[in-house]
Amino acid sequence: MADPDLTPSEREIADTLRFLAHDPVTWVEPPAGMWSRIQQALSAAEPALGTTGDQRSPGSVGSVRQLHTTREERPRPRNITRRSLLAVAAGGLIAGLGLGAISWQQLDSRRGDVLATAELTPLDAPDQLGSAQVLRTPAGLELRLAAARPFEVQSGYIEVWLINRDGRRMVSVGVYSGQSTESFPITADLLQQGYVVVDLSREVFDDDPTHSGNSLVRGQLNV
Amino acid sequence: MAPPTVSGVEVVWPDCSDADVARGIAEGSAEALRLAFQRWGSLIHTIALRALGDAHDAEEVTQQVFVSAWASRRQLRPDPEALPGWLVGIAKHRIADLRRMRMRSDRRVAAAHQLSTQTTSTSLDDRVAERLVLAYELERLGDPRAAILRMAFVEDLPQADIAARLKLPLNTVKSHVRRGLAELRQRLEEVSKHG
Repeated sequence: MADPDLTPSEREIADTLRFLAHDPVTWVEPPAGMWSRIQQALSAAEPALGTTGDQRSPGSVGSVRQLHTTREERPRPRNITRRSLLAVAAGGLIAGLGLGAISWQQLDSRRGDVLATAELTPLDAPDQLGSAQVLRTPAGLELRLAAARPFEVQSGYIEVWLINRDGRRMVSVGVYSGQSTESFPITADLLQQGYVVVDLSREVFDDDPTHSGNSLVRGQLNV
Repeated sequence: MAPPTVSGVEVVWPDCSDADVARGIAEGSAEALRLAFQRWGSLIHTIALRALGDAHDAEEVTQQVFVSAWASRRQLRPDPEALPGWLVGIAKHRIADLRRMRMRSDRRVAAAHQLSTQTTSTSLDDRVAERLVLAYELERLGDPRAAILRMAFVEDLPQADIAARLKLPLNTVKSHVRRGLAELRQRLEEVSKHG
């Protein structure tokens, strides 16, 4: 393209672009494992970085987890049809704590980098009853829950869900004792696909894996 | 064409803005540095490889760039334009350092060429970096702008032909060319600032 209309600085860029015709770029990726080497170098320089301290063993969350035999598989989204849940999902979604710019969290050197947080509040009365965090640990991402006061479980159990922004789909990530701080493995893909609303439901042992419609608390992660 | 990110590095927010990444690094988030590595690691590595011509040296430089970046993160301005220019600037310094070290260890070469003690970024390194950043930023522009710029300057097509091929008004094509060049120029300014 003849470029009589370009300013000198524009022409400079144009000329550099022309080089690409004769010398197309072949991008060369760094070798696999370079990031972990970088991370090790960073930790060596600053011991507070990275994760130290207790390494949670896979079975330590509680035996109640064994109810869900497909824990090792990636959770599959389920479509929900209960009208009450849909209505609540539409009206009860708490405005995200940071839907605009990403809120980078400070390092949590005890377990991993905190990537996102959410306050968990009841749908009808906004008292904070718990909090959720997404952490990156050496084992991968995890959703960590903490209860401000222990939840009553009685004859059922508490199930942890990630509901999609669309308010229609959800994934179960596990069963929560409701008593203390517990962590559940999740994937980045789940968050990227919009499953960012944390929901805790009261469930009964009825062989029905879908959400009971009885949400205890909910909160949206600020991803 | 998508820009060449580093495969196998899992990130939670692949679509976040460059400004967010810069802010994250400046604030001390290791997750932000990881995202920067995923987004620009191939750019840095390719620059190092082209400048030094050796895969092992290039890997060493790439690793050093991100470690140095973390060490000097407080100097990073949390601006939309700061990255990748800041990283490329660090890369040029690490490349120069490595080259100086290699030359020192090969005394015969040094004697033969009577090298001065001060070796800075050569103008060849600057051109390599500039051209690769441009190629990278071009791919990030996305279509139709990137396609239009490629057709105009890499394929050397007249703007009328580009308009016909893409079924766009001629003025739209002209506007994309102007704005695309301006955007690329701004990106390059950041790179040359850190030379």
